[in-house]
Amino acid sequence: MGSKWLAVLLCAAFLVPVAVSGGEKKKKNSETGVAIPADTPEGFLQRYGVFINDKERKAFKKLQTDMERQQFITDFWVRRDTDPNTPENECKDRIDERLDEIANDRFASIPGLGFGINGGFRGDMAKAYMLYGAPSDLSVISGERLFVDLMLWTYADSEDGGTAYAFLFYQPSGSGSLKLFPTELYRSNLCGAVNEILRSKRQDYSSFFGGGQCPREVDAAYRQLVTTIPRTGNAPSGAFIWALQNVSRDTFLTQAQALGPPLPASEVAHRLAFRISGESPEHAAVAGVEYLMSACAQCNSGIPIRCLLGSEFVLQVRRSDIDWQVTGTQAKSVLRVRVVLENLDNNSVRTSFGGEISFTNTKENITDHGEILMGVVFLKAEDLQTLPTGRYRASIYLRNAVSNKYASWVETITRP
Amino acid sequence: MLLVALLLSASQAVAQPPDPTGWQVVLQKQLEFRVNDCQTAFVGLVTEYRNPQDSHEFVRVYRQQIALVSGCAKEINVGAVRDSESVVSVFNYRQKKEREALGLVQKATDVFAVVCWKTAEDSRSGQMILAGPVQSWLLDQTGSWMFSDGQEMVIRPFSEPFIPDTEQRVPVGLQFALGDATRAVRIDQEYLVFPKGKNKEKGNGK
Repeated sequence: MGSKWLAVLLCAAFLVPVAVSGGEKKKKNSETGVAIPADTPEGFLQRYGVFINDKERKAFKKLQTDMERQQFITDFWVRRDTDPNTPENECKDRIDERLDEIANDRFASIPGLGFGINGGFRGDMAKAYMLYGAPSDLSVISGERLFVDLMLWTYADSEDGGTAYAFLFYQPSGSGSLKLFPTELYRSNLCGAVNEILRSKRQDYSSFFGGGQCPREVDAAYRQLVTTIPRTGNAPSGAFIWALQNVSRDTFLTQAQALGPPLPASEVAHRLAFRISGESPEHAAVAGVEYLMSACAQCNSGIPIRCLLGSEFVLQVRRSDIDWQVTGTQAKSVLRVRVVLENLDNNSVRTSFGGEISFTNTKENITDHGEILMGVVFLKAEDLQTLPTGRYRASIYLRNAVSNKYASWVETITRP
Repeated sequence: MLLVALLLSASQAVAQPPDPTGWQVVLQKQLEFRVNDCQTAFVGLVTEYRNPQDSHEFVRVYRQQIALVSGCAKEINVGAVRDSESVVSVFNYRQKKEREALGLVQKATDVFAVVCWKTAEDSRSGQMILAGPVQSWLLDQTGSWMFSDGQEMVIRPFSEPFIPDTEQRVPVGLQFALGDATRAVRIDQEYLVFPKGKNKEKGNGK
């Protein structure tokens, strides 16, 4: 599944619903209401079916007890929560709100467009509504005698106002429930797509698939579609033509993908691979390993350390000021060091060196003789000879690989 | 043993900074900086306190923590997160992860810089203004407190050559300086993750 699909899969919470004509919310009643399965473990698969993927459906069906089912449902929604920082589950709340709007037949006041008379809860309109919510624009175009009425739902991209998604509904036989127009069948066959909406469609449209001359009646319907102004809504007629072949401006996105179960929000976040770096390795428990964490006053995150430049370049640290990883009676620690020396008298002289130093010792030595100083020679006398004499600004960074505690400072040192 | 003695004498050279335990917290924020478009470094905490006995006296305490970098391990495909709610949702998950990680490392931090000042009302403008010199303490790398009465602590971001491409520099930390003493709170370049292939495209990989 491509990354472009991620956005569509994210918890169906795409756009801020905007007012759609006739969108006055009605009280649910037995005459106009749409029957929707209850929010119970028994009704889970039916009520939230469009959000459940095949793997989850199979797993749910295998569950034996109500307790198992309830746990599954809890986990299902936790994974889809769009804001894990709040106690509410915004994703479920939004979906339940949409289900309420379907139950109350939100579009019932627009003749012919209610959920109830267009397949109800199982219809294509309800499916698109559950996944995407109220469209930014709902437009209807009448084809009079040439082509069937078309209803277009468009969803605007909140960033640029362009059309992010579009769902075109029609009555395939000129009557009955509104169904989604099968854009996949006509992706590269506009002539066939227009033929599909004709009141008297030609059954042999495939004969002009692939660039052949479009039959005259199809061409006439196309020209009428181009010039007709929608009787409801603000979509231009060109949007209807575009929606005959597309569901999104992402041209790789298929209608089936757009209407498939959304990927849980937590998984989208995971796929985008946000991560924290720098956490202390000590937090990852390893069997049989303990840690001696230094106990000096400033050692929760730092390492008190001294740098000396004499005949050699040396760093000094007390045993008890660094953290150790202990296995049995043996302790080890690893310090990573990076030093940059810049000659203050001659800017062109600049050198950097770094590396990793491993220390081993006994646990007893560290706990009983922690005050002992350890010296690390970074530049030996012969190496120092290669450096011109003078004053240097030393930028020093030292990190304990066991715990990620560190010391970093700049100091001026003189090479005699 | 001589070195041990040196260390101890240095750490006793300057009086300890004030301890604001019991003072009112008036401000707390992360000590953070942006590394690039998708990575933020968290290196400590800044807390400002007010003396409950003297509402004109303040202390700002800088604490160092084990540094963390929060960010994306791979470049976000702009096309993958096209709508604002998707972006918000991903941000929410990132925020939760950050909060959990910061909560863990901020259980134990090290005070490394303290600034203390007093304010007074300006009789002409009625505004609160600084009264008297600012006192500053900075803990140097040896564990010794440096003190200044009146000298300003300088805080500035610093960068270093990017290891795979030394022609390029990356921001790695904040440097605190008080007189000759310096201390940096920083991240390791190892924590930085760049979009796949980017490192290879740049520099000689040295």
